Amino acid sequence: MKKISLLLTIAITLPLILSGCVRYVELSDRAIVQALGIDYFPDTNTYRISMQYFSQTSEGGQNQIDKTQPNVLKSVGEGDSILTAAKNASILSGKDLLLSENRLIIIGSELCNYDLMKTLQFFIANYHSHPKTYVCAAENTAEELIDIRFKEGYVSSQHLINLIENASSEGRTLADYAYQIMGQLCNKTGSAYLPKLKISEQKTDGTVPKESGGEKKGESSEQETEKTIVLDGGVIFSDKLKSGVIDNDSCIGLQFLCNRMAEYSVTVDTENNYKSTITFFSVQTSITPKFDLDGRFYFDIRVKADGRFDERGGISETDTGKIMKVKQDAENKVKMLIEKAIEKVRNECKSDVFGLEKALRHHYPDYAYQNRDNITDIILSAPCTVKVECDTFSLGLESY
Amino acid sequence: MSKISSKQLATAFVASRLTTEMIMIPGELIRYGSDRFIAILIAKLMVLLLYLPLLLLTRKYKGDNFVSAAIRRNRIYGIILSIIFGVVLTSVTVNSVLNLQLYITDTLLGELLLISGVALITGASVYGAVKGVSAVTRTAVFGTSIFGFLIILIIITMSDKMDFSYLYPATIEDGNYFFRAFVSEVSCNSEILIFAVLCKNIESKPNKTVYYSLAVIFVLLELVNLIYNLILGPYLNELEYPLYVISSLSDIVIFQRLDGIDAIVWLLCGIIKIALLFTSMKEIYTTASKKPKAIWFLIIYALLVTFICMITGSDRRYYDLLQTVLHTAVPLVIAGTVIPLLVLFTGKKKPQKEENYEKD
Repeated sequence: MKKISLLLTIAITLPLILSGCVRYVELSDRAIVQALGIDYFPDTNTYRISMQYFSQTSEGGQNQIDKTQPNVLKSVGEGDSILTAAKNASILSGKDLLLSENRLIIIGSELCNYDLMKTLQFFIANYHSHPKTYVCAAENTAEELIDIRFKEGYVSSQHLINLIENASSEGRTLADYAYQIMGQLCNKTGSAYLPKLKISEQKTDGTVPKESGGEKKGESSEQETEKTIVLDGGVIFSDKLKSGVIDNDSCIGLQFLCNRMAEYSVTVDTENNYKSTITFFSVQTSITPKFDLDGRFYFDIRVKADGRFDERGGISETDTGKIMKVKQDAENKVKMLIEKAIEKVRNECKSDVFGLEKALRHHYPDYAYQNRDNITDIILSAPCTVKVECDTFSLGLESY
Repeated sequence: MSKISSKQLATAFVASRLTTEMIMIPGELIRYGSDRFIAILIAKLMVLLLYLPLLLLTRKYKGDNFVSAAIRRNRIYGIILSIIFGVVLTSVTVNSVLNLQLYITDTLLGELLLISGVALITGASVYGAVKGVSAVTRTAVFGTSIFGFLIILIIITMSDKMDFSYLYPATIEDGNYFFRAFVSEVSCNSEILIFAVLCKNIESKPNKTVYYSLAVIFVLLELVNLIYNLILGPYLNELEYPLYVISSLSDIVIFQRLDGIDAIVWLLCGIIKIALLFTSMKEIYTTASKKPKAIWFLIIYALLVTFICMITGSDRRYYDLLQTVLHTAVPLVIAGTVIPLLVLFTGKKKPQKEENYEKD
């Protein structure tokens, strides 16, 4: 009994005595960072961090969470390193930075010209920051993307995350977390891909009410422009530095090459100005390094998919010849997208985003190890053969 | 003297070795590729060889450890061997405390003072040692169960993030790294030291502790290494605590990341390891001094460990030197293999009467 009383006394008194020994921060004093933009200005050798954070007690709010006030706030800090810029942003906001909820990092276009690994290292080295953070590149500065305001307030980080995730699931872009990008950068070629975000002006119709119609009383319609953020292709990195920019078509090809395409619809012209649509699903891409009969090394890229006729474009179900033609056209279209991506990403940008090095190491580990010093040259110079096979079926009964 | 089963101690060894894997091995020695898989395999065979003198010793001197067998031959001889062994045991303890303290400041409490961290770890471990080997091993069973459960949880939640193309069939690629990884794997088996002392506390068949623990540790280490490779790929080379990063990616809906829970469980297992080291030191003292009570000795020893930790931890050079020396595996071989080997040939068995009396 004495022992239990002693233990209870210790258990009650210790927290009371020792709680003052550790510095703690109240939740309301924390800036819960949701999105971060990093820019670099080489003229002044300064980094600028723009962070969008959630504040429990919003500006002018009376209560802990005041719904009438914007809870998403912005703070900017500058410094000669990412750490000092982040600290200055924290000082300006008057709150302690909490990176564990951060879901998006936007890298400014100028900073893309510098070592991406060093830029991301800050977030990775910090064990409290969330490793499932998407990383994107900005067309201009990251700050202008964080700064954009809709009528209802700052564009929320969740909006941007949804944009990236939807585009990824629709096969328009690759969306990788910070740790996955670090994994790509650790390969010999130091390759990576970041989706590119840009500001776009969208025209909207605004209806002017009677009272405010000016001289021309009565309802009238005016065109307004509203700024929004859209995905526009991607930025390719080679040797950890920006090596080029690719368009949306190449991004689709890249998605196929990376074996990340879940579903993709191809529309082809048929006779009499009709259009036929085949949707590729269950897409499987394999990259196999091979040696031809002359001992030359090449990559055999094969894409296999099931295809479904979503629009038959006036083709009869029994017209096998026309169905085969549409199927071949669709396969050729996908093949062209893949070849375009290879041309752009590998041949022009000298990058290996789709994992040729990994495939080589997987199939010929000894060869890869023996040639580890010039593996980049081998990968970038080897020819690639692309074959697309789509097993289409109409009404789910026959396959061709 | 409290007795424990061989399986209980084997489970404690699993907890101890897994903690070393998560917290104490320098990140540079865990690299992507096939080398480490082979290093673990060969290291385990090597460790089995290192255990051999101890296994023979437990067979020859039943119910004894090397200290009692040596002291029975000659008291001074036994004390000298105990001191040499104690120095190695203390350096392993200091290294473990410092590594655990570093881990806490890196992941959980960034602003924790060195003295606070060391005092907390040492205090908790001494408490375990005071409670006795039975209490520590029972806690180890609990800790290992949660540890294992969390690893399974990580595997399940991260299965969609595993990229099997990261694996490739190869043998030894980088001979230099392979050698360092192999030596490091051997040096990370401080359980040999614990077994050398606590083998006399095992109820029956102490050799089973070695076989069970080595087999389970081998499977778990290969599994953990496989997870590292499948999820992190070449990025593994850049990380200090790979499983911590992987667990921070795990999402089980109610907890969006498991790193916090994992860190606490690993901390518990780390304290169990250090408590086992303290218990071993206590056993050496009680056997050598023939005094059954060792609370004051433990308190003084804990203060000594804290003092050495403060000196070693205050300067990175001392810490690195300690790490380098211990990672050569030489201290472990001296204390865990050479000393038991000496005692195997020079020790003295219990007189028949004493043995029969103990049996009764």
